Amino acid sequence: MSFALRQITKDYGRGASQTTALAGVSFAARGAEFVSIVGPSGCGKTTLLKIVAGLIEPTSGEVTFDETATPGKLRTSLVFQDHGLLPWYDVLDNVALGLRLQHVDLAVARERARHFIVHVGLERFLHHHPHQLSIGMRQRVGIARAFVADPEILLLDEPFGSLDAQTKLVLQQELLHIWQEHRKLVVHVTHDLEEAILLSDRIVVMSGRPGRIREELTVPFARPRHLDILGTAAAGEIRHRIWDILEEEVRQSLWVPE
Amino acid sequence: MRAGDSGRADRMLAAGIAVLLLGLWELASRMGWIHPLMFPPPSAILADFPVLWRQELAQNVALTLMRFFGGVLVGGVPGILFGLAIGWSPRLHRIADPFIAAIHPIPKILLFPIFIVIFGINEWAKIASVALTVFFPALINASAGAREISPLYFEVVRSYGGGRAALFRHVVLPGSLPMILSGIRIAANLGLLVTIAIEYTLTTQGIGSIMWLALQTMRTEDLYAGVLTISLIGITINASIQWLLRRLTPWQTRG
Repeated sequence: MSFALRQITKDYGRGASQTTALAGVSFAARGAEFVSIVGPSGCGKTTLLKIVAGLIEPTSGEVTFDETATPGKLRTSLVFQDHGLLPWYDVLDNVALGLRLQHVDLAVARERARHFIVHVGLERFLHHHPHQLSIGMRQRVGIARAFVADPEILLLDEPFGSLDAQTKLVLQQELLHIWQEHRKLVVHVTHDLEEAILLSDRIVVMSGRPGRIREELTVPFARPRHLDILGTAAAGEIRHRIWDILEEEVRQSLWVPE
Repeated sequence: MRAGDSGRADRMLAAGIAVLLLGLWELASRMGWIHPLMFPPPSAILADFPVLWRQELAQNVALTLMRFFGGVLVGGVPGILFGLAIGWSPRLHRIADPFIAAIHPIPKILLFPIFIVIFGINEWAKIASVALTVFFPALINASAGAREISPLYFEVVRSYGGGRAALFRHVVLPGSLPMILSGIRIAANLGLLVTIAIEYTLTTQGIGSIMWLALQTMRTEDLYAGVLTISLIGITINASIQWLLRRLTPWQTRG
């Protein structure tokens, strides 16, 4: 699977109140690579992801997908920042939702969802509703839902942004583990540099608003990875390079009103 | 478990207050402190109830319930569907809002003579009045319910390729269900009121008309037996909707 963004621009509003979220963003991703996009808040990372997901139309530019994609297979599924579980469905039906929306038979969708839920050790919560779960547990269910739908491309929109530091580490490990078993192209948006280094093959660094791509870096660590890589000199150097670019962008974005 | 215990204690207290009030009424009526013709003792009303029930109340209750449920169904279902559509589409909301604001406050019972002209003197005229009464609260609540759903849930369903039908099935309908049910509750209580009021003033059959007849002939035990019947119907309807709410919307936690 592969996709390419060409000169994507996105404006919001009209006239004097018009703001440009993205200004001529181009990049491509292919195979089963894990790409992270980092940038200051308000740089249009989420907008970019939603354009790939087909939820937002770009003002100009185009998104193209590889034609060799499996026919009938879901192109993208998105893990939302605030998990986006439907409050009226229990865990089982939330995880089965993606399949049902692909017109998979209800019984089959539930069976596949149940299988995955058991596999990731959440079977105790099959019939819990989202409000009965901790925030971390909700996001695990959100991730399970996206994987069960088995898309060509998995999109992650700051999936661990609202978690405490320890829960975040656990869920990052889990995500890596699941992804190792179900390899696919992932585009992941985050503002957490360590998370980007731990998870990604490649990191795209964006500027502040309007969002442009400043640099792309390759993360050379072998997989499967462990948290320990973050302590290495190589990781320190990558973090340093990203921060060199980002610090200036973040300082400037502090002056831009929301 | 403390909450359950104090809940039970409060219900016992409420029952005690009811018994005390009825006892006072009984005493006052028997001692002649209040006019026994206008306020017959509760024991006399209770004794009258099964007699009246066998003679004529049972068949009239059936008729009243038919009018009531007919009206709730004919007015409630379109009310909910229209309401969901209006709540879902901001454009439809802008167009429909002035009409709702204009028609909603009219006491629908006043339109009964017009319905007689349209439908003739038959059950449909009554059902139509009840239906129109039920329509608005059902519509307004369903519309508010659909409007309050977070845009995030729509986005989630769209992100998996869900179209309009899927959005309705997985987001709009379940998301507004708590509000739909509370709308049905308001609508049902208003609908019952209008059914009885029409019967009381304008028809010769139904619980309402029995009560009117009882008052004309000063059979006040019959009048109170009618009040008791309506009260029982009201309690049953409200309890059923409460039960439905717990069954159908388990994600709405209370207490």
